[in-house]
Amino acid sequence: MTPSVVRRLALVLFTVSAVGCRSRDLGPSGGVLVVSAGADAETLFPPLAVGSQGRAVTELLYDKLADIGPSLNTIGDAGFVPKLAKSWEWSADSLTITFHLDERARWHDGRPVTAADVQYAFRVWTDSAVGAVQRVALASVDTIAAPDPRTARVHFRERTPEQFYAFVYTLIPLPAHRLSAIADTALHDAPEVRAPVGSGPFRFVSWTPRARLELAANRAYYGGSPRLDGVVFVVAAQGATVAARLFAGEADFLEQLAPPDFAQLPADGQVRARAYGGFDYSFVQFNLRDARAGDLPHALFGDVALRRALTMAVNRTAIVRSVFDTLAHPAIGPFSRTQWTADTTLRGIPFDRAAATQLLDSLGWRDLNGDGVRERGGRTLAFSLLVPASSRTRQAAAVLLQAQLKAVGAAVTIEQADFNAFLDRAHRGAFDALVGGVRTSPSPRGVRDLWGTPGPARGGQNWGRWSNATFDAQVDSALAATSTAAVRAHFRAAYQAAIDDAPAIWLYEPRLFAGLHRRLTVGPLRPDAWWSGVASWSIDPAQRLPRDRRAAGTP
Amino acid sequence: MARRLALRVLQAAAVCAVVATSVFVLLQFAPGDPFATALDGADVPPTVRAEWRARYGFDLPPGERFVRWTGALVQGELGYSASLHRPVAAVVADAVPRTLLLIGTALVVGFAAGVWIALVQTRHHRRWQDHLLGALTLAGVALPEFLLALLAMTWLGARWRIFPVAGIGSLGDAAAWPLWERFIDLLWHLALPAAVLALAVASRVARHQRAALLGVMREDYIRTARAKGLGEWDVLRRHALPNAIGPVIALLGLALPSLVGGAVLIERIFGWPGMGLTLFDALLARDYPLVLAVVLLATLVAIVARTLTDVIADLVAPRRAPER
Repeated sequence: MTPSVVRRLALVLFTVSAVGCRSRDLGPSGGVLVVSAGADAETLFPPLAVGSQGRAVTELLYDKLADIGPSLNTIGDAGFVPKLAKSWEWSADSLTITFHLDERARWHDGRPVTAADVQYAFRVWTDSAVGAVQRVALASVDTIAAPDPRTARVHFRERTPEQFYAFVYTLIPLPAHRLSAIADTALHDAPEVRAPVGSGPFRFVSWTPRARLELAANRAYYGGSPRLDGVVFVVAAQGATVAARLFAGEADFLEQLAPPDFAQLPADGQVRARAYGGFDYSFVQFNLRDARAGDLPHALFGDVALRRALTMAVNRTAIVRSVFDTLAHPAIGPFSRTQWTADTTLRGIPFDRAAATQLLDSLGWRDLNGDGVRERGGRTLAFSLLVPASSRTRQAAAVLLQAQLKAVGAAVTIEQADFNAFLDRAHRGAFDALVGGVRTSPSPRGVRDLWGTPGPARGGQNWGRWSNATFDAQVDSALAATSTAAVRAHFRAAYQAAIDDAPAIWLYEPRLFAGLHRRLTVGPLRPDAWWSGVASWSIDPAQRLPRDRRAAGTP
Repeated sequence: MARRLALRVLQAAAVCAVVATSVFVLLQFAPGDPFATALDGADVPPTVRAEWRARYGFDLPPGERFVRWTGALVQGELGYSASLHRPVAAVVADAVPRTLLLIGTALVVGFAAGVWIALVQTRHHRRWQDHLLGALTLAGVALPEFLLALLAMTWLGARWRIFPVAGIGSLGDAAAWPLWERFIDLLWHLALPAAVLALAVASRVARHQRAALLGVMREDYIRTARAKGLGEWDVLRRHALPNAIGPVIALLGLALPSLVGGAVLIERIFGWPGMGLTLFDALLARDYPLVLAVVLLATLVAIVARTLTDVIADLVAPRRAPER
């Protein structure tokens, strides 16, 4: 054989094997994914969708210009995946990004996605009459120009490290040709919004509020037809019912198995748990200000040495083991280890009951009357711990905390409050300490609202009103830095300052476990958006069910 | 009868007004609003929350809100659900028929089963059938509905897969199915939640009906019927039951508010998207206009049902009718 024949043969073999591999990897088309959901989408209108279910549905229906990549990096545009925009370019001063829309992109009614749709979406998102909750993320965007239907030029007011992320992660282009005739104030419940026409891999079929939401594959999707015939969200408000649906074979996927669900997993192997990163972490937050006279330091927690002593007295590993077994990690600081700025090598305050006892003694807290509780200057070392009644895990952790702190002479009273009352008291600063929990986003920006010095300009949710100049400065520097290494270094310093100053006892980071039926083949689950890869999921043809045909509308 | 009905309508209006005012005042003491939890993200600035509060009038003093709300109510406006982004009337219109179906089925099935159980118990008075059914009905009264619901969901749904765990229908385009198939599918999904509610109704009805039947079985006309040679079942059905059923029908009217209350839990457990689930979600979301609307409707349903059962009881057992 001549070299050219060999080359051609090699090329043919490579192509065949590549196609073969591709078809094996992708799996066959067909089947309907049934997702058991614990809540319904509050809306199908992207600017108002804030909950997990609302985001899941709207992001299956609508595509973004670009999406965050598997690295979850939020600085610059490294790792971002093209969606409606097949490419983009930056101006020399980084104040303008020009997005080139994919000419194949179509709305579900067949009309092309144009730059006018991006402009319209920006107008809707930033109109206070609509009330898009995330519009603050678009504050740095000045205008959007449309030099031609396939080009959207975004002009920014200022250059920030996360400007690309903030724009593409927030703004979802909307079909101007269908919605622009509707007044912005009437968009919330307009019929066009409740039966949306999107640009994503799945199109809307039907919605029975608080019962079921059905989507079908968009076979004309510019990114390639989804392998599933459709996705159906079945809603049950009760936790046990959500899992029971999966275990009974009535659903294929559950976003998050709760710890008690693991004991219920059927022994037949039909359902398996799949771990993926989470963005949650929980903590005991100390109120550093007096609950009644907010300007004065808290009688106990105003003292950093006391906060450190209490932190030292808590065996977080034991709490995590007791409450979660292996389904959580001890928390490190004010971040989740899934965030790209996380640093697991930070120096924490170790559990050391003897050292905690010594420190409390040295601070003058002593049990003078032998009742097991320390006193100093006529005040006992006693405080209340506020816990939301809706969280069984936080309640369990609170009970263990109470026992551990009692061992060093601190009396803790657990106060349960319904979640709204919990939030109300937290916002008002009407608590001594609370067991809090947050779900962060890929961006580390949220740490400033949660732990940065609160003020009228910043607002935020720093319920304990902790203030640390080093932390503030390092976070601000991190959010202004443009190199990934510099951002990491600043966040490392900020996190260390928070750990050392102990405004909270960092408790645990629950690990997320999705529940999957064995007939389902899924790709990587993104911690912030498990649904991001649903278009590439598949269902084993040998395990198709009558409901697949029925839900897909095929005989 | 017309005068009684008119009086009932006036009573209903007064009760609704009292209930609405009470609930509105009580809700003022509950902390939070729809925007405390729904927008509880770190990225949501306080200014956005303030805008939402202002849009739906949550920044107004309670008195002004009450005046606005009652003014709108009088004009037939139930307000706007901030948590669901829909007019309250639309949300309620979706939910009410489903709850009426659930409660209606539970009432009819429970009543029929309860009467039948009472007949069997009376027929076999102080024999093993009576004792067995008595114990079962006692359990039916004593066991909490949520426990029965969870047991039914776990065993009949998840383990044995006889009935669906939750929901109101199978997947697919139900509109394209034949009518009978849709009906069967609806019954299949209705079975567990309705059965759990019906069990409690049946138990209560059976215990009251048995007592009422035993009471009339000592009457002279029963002895006369037996003397005429009628069989015991005929005596029970034709002579005893018509005279003993009136108080039990009236009991249904009294039981309805607790049935509505039970439906809140049952709908939540079985994912039945009726008024109970709506109320539960609305309470969690502090969606006050929706809470008020559902409570008002539940009150109205209870009053109407009570009136109807009174009327039916009067028709069935004329001796209960007031003297004119």
